[in-house]
Amino acid sequence: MSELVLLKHITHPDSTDIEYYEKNGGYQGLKQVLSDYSPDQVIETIKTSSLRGRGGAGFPTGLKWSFVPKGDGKIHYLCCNADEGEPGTFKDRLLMERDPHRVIEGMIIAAYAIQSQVAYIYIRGEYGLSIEQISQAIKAAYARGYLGKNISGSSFCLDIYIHKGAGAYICGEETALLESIEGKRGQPKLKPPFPAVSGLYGCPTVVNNVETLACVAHIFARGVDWFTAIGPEDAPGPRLFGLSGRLQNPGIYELPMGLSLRELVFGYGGGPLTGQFKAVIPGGLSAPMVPLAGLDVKMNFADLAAADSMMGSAAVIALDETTSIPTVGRRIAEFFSHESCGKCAPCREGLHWASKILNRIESGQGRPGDLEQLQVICGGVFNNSFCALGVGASWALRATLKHFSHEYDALITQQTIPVRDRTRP
Amino acid sequence: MTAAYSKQGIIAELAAPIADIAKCYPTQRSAIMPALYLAQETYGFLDETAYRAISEILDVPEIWVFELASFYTLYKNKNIGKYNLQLCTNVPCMLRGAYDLFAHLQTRLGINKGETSKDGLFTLTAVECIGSCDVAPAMMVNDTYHTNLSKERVDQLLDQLSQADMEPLTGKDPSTRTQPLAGNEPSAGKEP
Amino acid sequence: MIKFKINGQEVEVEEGTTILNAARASAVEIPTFCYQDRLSTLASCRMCLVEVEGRPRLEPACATVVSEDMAVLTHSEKVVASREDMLEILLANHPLDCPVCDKSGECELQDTVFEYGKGDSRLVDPKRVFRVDDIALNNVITFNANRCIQCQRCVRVCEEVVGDVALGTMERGLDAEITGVGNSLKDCSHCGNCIEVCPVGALMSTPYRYKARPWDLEKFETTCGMCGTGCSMTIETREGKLARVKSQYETGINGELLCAKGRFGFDFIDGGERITQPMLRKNDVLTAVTWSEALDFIINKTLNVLGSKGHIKGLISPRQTNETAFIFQKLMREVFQSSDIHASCRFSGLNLQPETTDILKALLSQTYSRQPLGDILQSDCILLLGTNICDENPVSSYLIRQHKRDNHNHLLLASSRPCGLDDIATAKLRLLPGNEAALLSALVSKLDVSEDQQQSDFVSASKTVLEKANSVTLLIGTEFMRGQQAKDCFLWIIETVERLQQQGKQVFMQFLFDRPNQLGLWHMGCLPDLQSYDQESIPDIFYVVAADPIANCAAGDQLEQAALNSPCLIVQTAFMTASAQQAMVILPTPSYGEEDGTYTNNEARVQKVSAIRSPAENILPSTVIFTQLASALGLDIIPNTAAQILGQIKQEIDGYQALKEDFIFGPKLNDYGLTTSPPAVTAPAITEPEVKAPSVNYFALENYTLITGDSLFRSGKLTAQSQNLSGLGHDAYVEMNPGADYDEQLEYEVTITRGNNSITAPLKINRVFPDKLLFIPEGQLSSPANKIITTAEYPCVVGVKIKVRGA
Repeated sequence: MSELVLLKHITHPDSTDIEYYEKNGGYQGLKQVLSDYSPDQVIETIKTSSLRGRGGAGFPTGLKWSFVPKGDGKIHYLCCNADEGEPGTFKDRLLMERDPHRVIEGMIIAAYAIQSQVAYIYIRGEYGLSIEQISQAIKAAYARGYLGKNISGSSFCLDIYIHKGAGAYICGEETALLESIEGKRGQPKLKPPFPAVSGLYGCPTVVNNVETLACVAHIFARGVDWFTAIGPEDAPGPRLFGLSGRLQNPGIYELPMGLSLRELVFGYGGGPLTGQFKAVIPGGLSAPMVPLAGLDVKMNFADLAAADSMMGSAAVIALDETTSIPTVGRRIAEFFSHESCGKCAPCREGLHWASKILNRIESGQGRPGDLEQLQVICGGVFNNSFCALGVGASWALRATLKHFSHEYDALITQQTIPVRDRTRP
Repeated sequence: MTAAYSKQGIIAELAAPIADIAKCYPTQRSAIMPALYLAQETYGFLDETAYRAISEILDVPEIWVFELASFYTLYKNKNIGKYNLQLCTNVPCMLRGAYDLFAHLQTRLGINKGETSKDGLFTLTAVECIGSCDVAPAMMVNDTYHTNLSKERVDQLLDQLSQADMEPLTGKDPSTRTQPLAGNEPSAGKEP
Repeated sequence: MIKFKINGQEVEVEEGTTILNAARASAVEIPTFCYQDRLSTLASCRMCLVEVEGRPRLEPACATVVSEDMAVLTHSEKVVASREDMLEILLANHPLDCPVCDKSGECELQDTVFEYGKGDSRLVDPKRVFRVDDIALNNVITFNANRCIQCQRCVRVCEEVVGDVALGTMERGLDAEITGVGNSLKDCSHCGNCIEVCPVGALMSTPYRYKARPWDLEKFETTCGMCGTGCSMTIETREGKLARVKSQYETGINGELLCAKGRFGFDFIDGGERITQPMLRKNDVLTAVTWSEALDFIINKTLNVLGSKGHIKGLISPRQTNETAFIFQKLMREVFQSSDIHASCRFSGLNLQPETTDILKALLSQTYSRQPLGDILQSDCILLLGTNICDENPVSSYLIRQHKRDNHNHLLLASSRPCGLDDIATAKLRLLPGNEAALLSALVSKLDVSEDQQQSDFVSASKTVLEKANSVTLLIGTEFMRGQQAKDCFLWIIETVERLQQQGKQVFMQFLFDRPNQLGLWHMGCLPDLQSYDQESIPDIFYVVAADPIANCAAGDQLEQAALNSPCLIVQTAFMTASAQQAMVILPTPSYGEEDGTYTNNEARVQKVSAIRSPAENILPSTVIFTQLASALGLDIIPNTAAQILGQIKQEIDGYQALKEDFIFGPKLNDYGLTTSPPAVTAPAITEPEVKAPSVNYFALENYTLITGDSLFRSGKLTAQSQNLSGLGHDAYVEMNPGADYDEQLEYEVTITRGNNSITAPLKINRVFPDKLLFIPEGQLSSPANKIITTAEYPCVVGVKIKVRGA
């Protein structure tokens, strides 16, 4: 890949200013959309681009937009999901802190496409600087006439409001996010009806990720052909990979999808910190870890799915030989148990039960039968959870059991406490 | 906390700004979350009095305010120290030594997880991923991020914060957020 | 219709049916916890997951709509394993409290685990415990959080049906706990519906705590005796003693819903002072006598009065059954030669003008809709007029809230007091009683109401709704019957229905009575012939059945005067009352719950009232007393048992012909069905009702004005005898909005004066009460010596003084 696009201006000190943004071509795409495209044509363009959501599910964006009923007389809502909470993921924060106008421009184009005049951007409460930068960007956009009434002289009007999250990972799930904006506890809703038909306040709603909307802005700035020329045919366009954990060069890397996980963690990540990689989590904590032997898997939706894992949020967390897998497993169970909304029994009760067992195993009180029990619990949670949180948690946990049962066995039979973590909080 | 801290006092002070916030939404209920933030910012914490005041200002059932205040973790329902040390202990930070750091903080401050130091300066909590995984271990002090932490840096930070008359850091201060320590530039698109 | 397969068998269902409902209709069992017909679908418990061929994941049957050619398996290996897993997971933290839990024996978790559970548990880790002791959320609801399985039925019923929004969920994940604000439900309706819907023993009834096991209980299906909604209830006794009141799903108009009065107030039959033998006034002292002495006295008196062409007046309480009322009016008409039969104490307005009875009869036979409430609540527009429905007919208000949510129709509400349904009304108006006729006329004519902004807004909003509506339902309370404008209101109800019908709309009209059998009494013929009798004259005999005119009538009411001044006051009653204390003869009768009978509710539906125990030895059923008197005076009234009397009612009373038969060797019926509209009769000529301008300013009031009625926990005076209800709310209070100067933290008392009478009671602050309006619950005003409200004026202007208590 030759040129950075998503990260092009990140390091420039003025990158958040609207003057800088405009001077470098910003909001040109929007102006062109408003003058030359009908909303349907915008949707068609995005469909042609094969842009897939960058939040975690990878749903084709154009298709999602096309589900919104047209001419129904109802208010339509656009929501930007900036509740980045998947452990290992920090790309949206970078975009909001350093290229906020891109996100805004993407939102305006998306809102135009689905005929929405009110948009909310749901930013997690911890991201104080992102909230500040987006807030300033919104103000500057209003001042320049890119928001409010008659945007850039067209008949299109849009208001964008920030809704601050308050510390609930589950609100990254789109229906839980909508519930949260409505002032309720962040619990996922039954689907159907899908948000495109009945979402925020019962109205047709589209929820898009920050990076997805940034791509939308870039697509209309540079053209569909630019986008589809990057990466594989079924998942084109630049992608922000977040590398973290036990590797030499953590950070955000803008790359096409399709490269191998090995290339990613060695070529860009600089290889393991200590000894060998033990396993790599490819798409955030909900994604099953890929053991060392599987590192040649290609980083795109289809290949990772075939390898019984997932692309997720492209958050790559590397584990090396100093990592105790049972500790990671326990932390996974604890995280999802903390963040469980409590609506459905499998997730609420099952994950807590799993973390109790894993805590026992880790502190040397494991029992024979614990691993079988964990398998059963994971099965129950995986099959029966109401939303993807339970599914992801149990899937990720099961992967640790599948590939590293020997480490668990060692703890249970030898009753030893993992070396590095005697002082865990 | 001023002398006017009572339900009526809160209503008098916050009714107008909350009404402004509520204009961004078609329902009053949607404004509960931002209203809770506003009360927390104004008074430093939240309690039953604040919930009842918000319920009256927005004309929503009290239980709705109580529910949100307890569901979401960033609403502090009890007194916390001047500096809320929220150390991430999720997997990426754990892999870079967050647990050792936490133990170090426990020892230095003489408190356990969730407790506040005797001088009322520091509350220590373990939090889930805060989105700074490339510069782990990371910690939030109130609203500000501190990254690339080590025991030394943490000690330095606490020393600074312990000085009297230190203004609370805000999340808007960019200097400690995106600049990692020398030797670990924010990698962006390095060619293999 | 859609065809699909369930367990290999083809089934046809209507479009939009869920797999769960389709299965239930085909007698295929699918276990559920969080699903409840009445409530929004959550699909959170995951018990109803079934296999749908072709889909990778199991689908929740309660939330999945059947599609053409779908193939559903409800007992496949996957499904069975899923149910076992789910139950094991639920039992992971559910405490093994069965031996000490009230719910044991009727617990849905117990039953489902027995049916679908694995039979063992592999949990070895300690269970999560919220706390060791149960919490008293309020005086009637106790809560054990450890047992809760988070089905959210309680939260949903409280929000979606009852409308209190008192329950919610704190925290999240495994720490999630249902509770009220500050762990208390002190301000809720205390309806106990949360207890009824809880599938486990998390929410419990405090009065029932530790009293019995379900298999110990004897169950009686009956109809509630509080208001005209006519809820079906199951009274459960243990060894003859009242244990609790429940309501079964899918029975009656109410299903599982009851209000605080119905659910907790039944113990009133064990309170109060019971009369155990007949009494006769000798030398001005009430003395116990034998039945024959008492009855002989009455017979002789009657013969004297009839011989000298005297007058006998009758009054019967609207809590009496149809059977009692039917025989009573037979006694009155055929034996006592009088049709001066009254059926309520409090509605003074009914007796003020001679034409009123005829107009009311026309309304009941021609205008009144004899339809299920559930059906008529689906109209495009529902107008609630002059009713404080949330206090007087709470379950009807729950049904309105539920139907409005389902049907998205319009609710127009005009009432004297703030109403729980205000928040879902399309338009609402605070309306002083006495203005109902004027409001109706404004709604269906061009009457100018612009001088009052609120009234004007309401009328124009309502007219817009009415215009678009294809169907309209009028639900009208009884408050107007206390005042001077009763006759006008009847006329305008008839007129309004006609005018709306002329516009091509389907129109329904029912009253919302605050007593269980007001309509039944009127149907039975307990309506006075006002044209023939001068209401001012004192009757020679005043025969009062279970009513208390001396206490309950407004001051100066003709019925009160008759009771005070009649030379022979006969009071037939179960409990000692103010009227009984002044009587010449007291005849003891069974109370509600001690004899079988029927009530006719607001829908004009006839429902059974059951005896849960026999009356004490020396007590004769009311109808037996009547037939003995009749027989001694030369008229044989043959039917004697409740069933026999009902048989005769079916023959003689218009509209009761089509009621169902009781099976002789089969299940006893609770619901006899709706009565039908009688054949049209030539209505007496009703002169065109005059279009009147409103006679009293709608709020703002110039002077302090007093109204009365039932409160949330009181239905007349009987409920004061209930131990359970006495602990809820205050017996004595004055409810008003005193203004911002008065602080909730202090305790005030209010003294109300009118003429020479005054009442002092604690102040109950209600900040949404209209300015200068005062409310005192009716039971408290029924002090014979000190009556504030008179027949001449309702509502009435009073003097008010407020001061700090103890100061």
